[in-house]
Amino acid sequence: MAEQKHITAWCSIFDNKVVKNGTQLFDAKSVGINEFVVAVYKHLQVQYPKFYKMDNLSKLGWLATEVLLKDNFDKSSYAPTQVAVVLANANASLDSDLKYLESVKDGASPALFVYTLPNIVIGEICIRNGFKGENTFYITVHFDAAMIHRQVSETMDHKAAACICGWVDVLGEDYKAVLFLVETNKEGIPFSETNLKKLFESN
Amino acid sequence: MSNGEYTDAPIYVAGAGIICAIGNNVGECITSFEQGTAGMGGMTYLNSLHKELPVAEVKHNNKELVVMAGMTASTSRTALLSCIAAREALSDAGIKNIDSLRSGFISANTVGGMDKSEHFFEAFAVDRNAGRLRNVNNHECGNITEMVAEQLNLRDQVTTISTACSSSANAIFYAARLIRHGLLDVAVAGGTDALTKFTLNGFNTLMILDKEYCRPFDDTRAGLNLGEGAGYVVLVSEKVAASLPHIYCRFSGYNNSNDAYHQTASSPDGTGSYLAMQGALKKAKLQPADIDYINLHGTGTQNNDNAEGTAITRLFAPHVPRMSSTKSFTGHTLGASGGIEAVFSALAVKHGYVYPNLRFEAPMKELQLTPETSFLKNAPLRHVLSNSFGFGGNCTSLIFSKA
Amino acid sequence: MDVRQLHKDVFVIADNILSPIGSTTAENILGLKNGESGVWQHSNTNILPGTFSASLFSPSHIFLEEEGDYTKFEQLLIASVTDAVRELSEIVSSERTLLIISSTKGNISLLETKAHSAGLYQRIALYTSAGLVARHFGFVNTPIIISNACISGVVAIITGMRLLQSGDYDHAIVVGADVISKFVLSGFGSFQALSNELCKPFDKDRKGINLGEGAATVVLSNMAKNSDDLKILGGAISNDANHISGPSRTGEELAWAINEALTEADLTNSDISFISAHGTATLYNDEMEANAINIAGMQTIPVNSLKGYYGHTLGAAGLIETVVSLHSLKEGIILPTPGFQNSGVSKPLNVNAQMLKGPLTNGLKTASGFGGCNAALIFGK
Repeated sequence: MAEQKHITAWCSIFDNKVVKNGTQLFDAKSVGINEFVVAVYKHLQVQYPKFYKMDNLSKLGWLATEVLLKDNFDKSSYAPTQVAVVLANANASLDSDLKYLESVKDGASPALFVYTLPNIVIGEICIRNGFKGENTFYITVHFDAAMIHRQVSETMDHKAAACICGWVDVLGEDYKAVLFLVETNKEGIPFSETNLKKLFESN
Repeated sequence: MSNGEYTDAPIYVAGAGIICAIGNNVGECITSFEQGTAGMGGMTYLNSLHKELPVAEVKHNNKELVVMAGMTASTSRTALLSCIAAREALSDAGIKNIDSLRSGFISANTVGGMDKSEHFFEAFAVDRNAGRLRNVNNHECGNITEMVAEQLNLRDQVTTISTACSSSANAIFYAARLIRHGLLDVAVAGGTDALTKFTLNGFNTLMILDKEYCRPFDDTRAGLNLGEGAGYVVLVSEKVAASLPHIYCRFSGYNNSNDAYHQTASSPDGTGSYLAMQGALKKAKLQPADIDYINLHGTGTQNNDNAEGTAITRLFAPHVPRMSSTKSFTGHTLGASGGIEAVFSALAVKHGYVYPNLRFEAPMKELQLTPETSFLKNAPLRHVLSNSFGFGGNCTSLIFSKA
Repeated sequence: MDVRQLHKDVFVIADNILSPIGSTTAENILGLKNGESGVWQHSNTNILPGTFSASLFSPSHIFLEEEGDYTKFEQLLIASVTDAVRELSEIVSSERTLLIISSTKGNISLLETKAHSAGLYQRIALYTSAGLVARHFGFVNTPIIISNACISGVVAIITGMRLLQSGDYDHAIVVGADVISKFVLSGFGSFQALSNELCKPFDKDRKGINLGEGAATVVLSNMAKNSDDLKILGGAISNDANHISGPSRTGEELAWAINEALTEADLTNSDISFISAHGTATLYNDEMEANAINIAGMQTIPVNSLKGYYGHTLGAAGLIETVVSLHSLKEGIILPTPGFQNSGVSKPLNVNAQMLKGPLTNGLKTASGFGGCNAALIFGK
C-alpha cells in the first residue's frame, strides 16, 4: 500500500497575519491586501523581482509557499518531477478577471490576461522552486479537506513524493491562503482529512 | 425548349447588383457589412419636415445619380436607382450572347415616380396652372420598369410587380417561373424604391417608425427606419448557366402565401410567414434543418419581428439556423428589399457570408431568438432562406442553394 | 507492493461531443470525416478590431428545450451530459457515481453584460454552475471542478480514471465546456496569438490559434457496457517550471508526462498507434510538442491536431479531442490535420495530412497550457 504521508509544515496567510506551524511570524494591522502582500514580501527578505508583476492570487500563493518551505524543506532530496502542487479555491481567478476586463476598455493587456487562470499561481510556485511534478487547480465552494486529501493521496500514490497543497483565494480585499507540505517517510502530523480540516480551522 | 412548357430544370443566379444606403455596388455593401457601418443617418436628400426620423438614404443627389445611370435629368430617383443596380447585375453576369437570348426585366416597386409627382405638386398646389407635367408622366410604377428596360435593352418580357414589401421577392420568383416555362432564357429580376415624403408620412401615421436606429429582433425594438435603393439578380436557365464563367447559386425554392389577418399587421402566430417558409422548403425539397442562414424580413417593428420569430420557432426549433436582418444596415427599402436581400442571400451562398444584425442586445422575451451579430466569412452555407413580408398579408420566402 | 496491481480497468462506456459541427458524437465524427470545420471567419468590431477565425455556435442555437435560468455555459454542460447518459439513468442516480467538470472560464462572459455585484460574482463561480448541473441530473455526490488552463479536460479524465482505479467510485461522468466571448478573444488577441485564417498546426506558415466553443463528455465505468468499449490506460501531468505564458524550451516536461503515462499504461512508445497532439498552431507550442515527441522517441508515429476542426476549445479541448480520438481508434482511422501542409517545426514529426486507415490499438492525447502545465493520456483496446 501507499507509504505513510505526513504534513511536515503548514502555513496560513490571512487577516493580515502570517502563521507557520501555529506560530505567528508577521502581522501588519490595518493595511489593504496590496500593501500587505508587499509587506510580507519585504519581511521575507528575498530577492525575486518577478514578485511585483504577479497578480494578488499568485503573490499570496507564492508568499505562502516561501514561508511553508523556508528552513525545513530539502529540495535536493527530490527530483523536480517528484514535487506536486495541488491547490483549490472558490473564486478561481475572478479577482484578476475583473482587473483584466477593466483594462480591455483601453486595449487588452497580455500581462493581465495571463493571470486570468487560477493555475497560474501554481506556475509561479513551480518556476520559483523548479518543481516539475503534477499540478492541478480545483474549485470548491469552501475548503474541502476530504477532496484535497483524496486528490493529494492519488497524486502521491502515483508519482509524487512531496506535495504542496491547500487553499489560496483572493477577491478584492478578501483573501486567505492555507498551504500544507505533505511528504512521505518524514516526521510530522499524519496526513488525514481530519488533520487537514483541524489545521485549516485552527488558523 | 418550346414556349409555355413547364420544366423542373434548375434556375441559377448569374449576376447581382445593388445600390442602397451602404453602398453603390455589391463590393461597397460587403465592405460596410465587414466594418459594421450602417446606412442610416439624418435626412440629407429627402426634403421632409420630419427631420427627427433617421432614414437610410443612397448617398447621392439626383444629379449624381443621373450621371451614374446615364439617364435624362428629369428621371425619377426610383428609375435611376433601378437602372444603376440592374446594369451592375447584368454586367456582373457577363452573358456575352445576350442579344441572341430571350431576356426580360421583371422589376418591382411600390412608389413609382412619386418623388417627381411630389415635386410637381408643390407648385401645382399653389397654382393649378403651375408645375411641369413631364414630372408626372412617369408616376406609374410600370413606367419605371419600362424606362429602365429600355435603357438596358431587355425586351422579351417586361413586367412590374407591386405587392408592398414583398414586391421584389415576388418579381424574382415570377421571373424564375418565366424561365421554367421556357418563355425566357435570362431575366433581370428584383426591385427599386426611392424615399419620398409620401412613404415617410404614410409609415409615420402608422406609428411604426423608430426615431432611433432600428433594432430588429431586439426586445427593445420600436419600429423600422425607411431606406431606399434597388437590388437585382440575373436569373438564367440551366443552359445559359452552363455557358457562363461564374454563377452564384441555384434559386431553388419560393412561395407566396397570405396571412389573411389584417391589412397592415401580421397575425400573432405568423401564419402567412410560416406558410411562405414551409412552402418554399417544400418547393426546394428541403427540410428545415437544411437551411443554414435566414435573411430575415426583420423590419424592427413589434408586430413583424414577433410574428416572424414565432413562425421561425414553430418551423425550425430546435434546429434554428443563424439569422439576421440586413435592414439594420439598409433600412427598410420597401419594394426594393426583396431584391436587395436576394442579392445578399445569393452572395451568402457563394462566399459563405452571414451578415451581422446590428444593435441587437437582448432577445424578444417571448421567443429567445438571438440573431448573428458578427459578419462571418467562409461559412459553408448549403441553403439560405430570404423572407419578405408585406402589407396586405403578402408573405414571400425565397431559397438560394449551393450550385 | 505496486499499487497499480490493484487498479481496476476503466472503460469509456458513453460519450458526447457538442460543437458547432454537431450535437452528438456521431454527428461530429461524420462531419470530421467529411472535412467539415466549425472554424469560420468573423468580423465584429464590438469584440475585436479586424477579422478573426473561430468555431462558434450560432447565436440562435437551441441547446436545451427548457433553458430555464441556465447560462450558455451551463446549457452546454447539461446538453452534453444529457446526450451521453441517455441510456444510463441508473449510473446518474448512483451514489457510486462522481461528476467531474472541466472549464477554464465558465460563466465569465456574464461580466461583460451584467451589472457587477457580489451576487453576480457568486453566479459566475464554477461551483455555482457545478451545483446547478448536479441538481439538474440528481447526482448524489458533490462534483469535482478542475480549472487548470488548457489541460483541464485531460486532467479531468485522469482524475476520473484514478478515482475509479482506486475504487473510490464505480463511475465518473467527466464533462468539459467553455464559451468564447470578448473576454477570451481579446486576451488571446492581446498576445497576438490569434490567426485570422484557419489555423495551421505544425505548418511552417502557422500564425496562431483559432478559438472555439464546445462541450464534451465521457462516461467512465469500472464495467464495460459494450463489447467495443475502450479503456483509459494511464495519464500523467507535469509542469515546465519555466514561464507562465510560454512553453518549455526543451519539451522535456511534456516528454516526462508521456513516459509516465506509458509506464502507467504498461506500454512502450512503440505500442502507440497515433498521437492527438495539442497542436494549437502557435509558433512555440508546436515547436515544444515536436521536441517532446522526439524526446519520447515517437517522431515516426502519426500525429494530428484537431484544432482546425474545432478551434482551441480550452477547457473542453482535452475532452472533445479525446472523444474524437477514441472513435478514430474504434473505426481504425487517423484524421488529417486541417491547415497543415509543410512541416514548420525543427524536429522530425509525422504530422498526418491525409486520412489514414488501418487497425489501431492505442492512442495518446497530449495537452499543454498557460502556467507551464502539460498532460498526457493513453487509451486503447
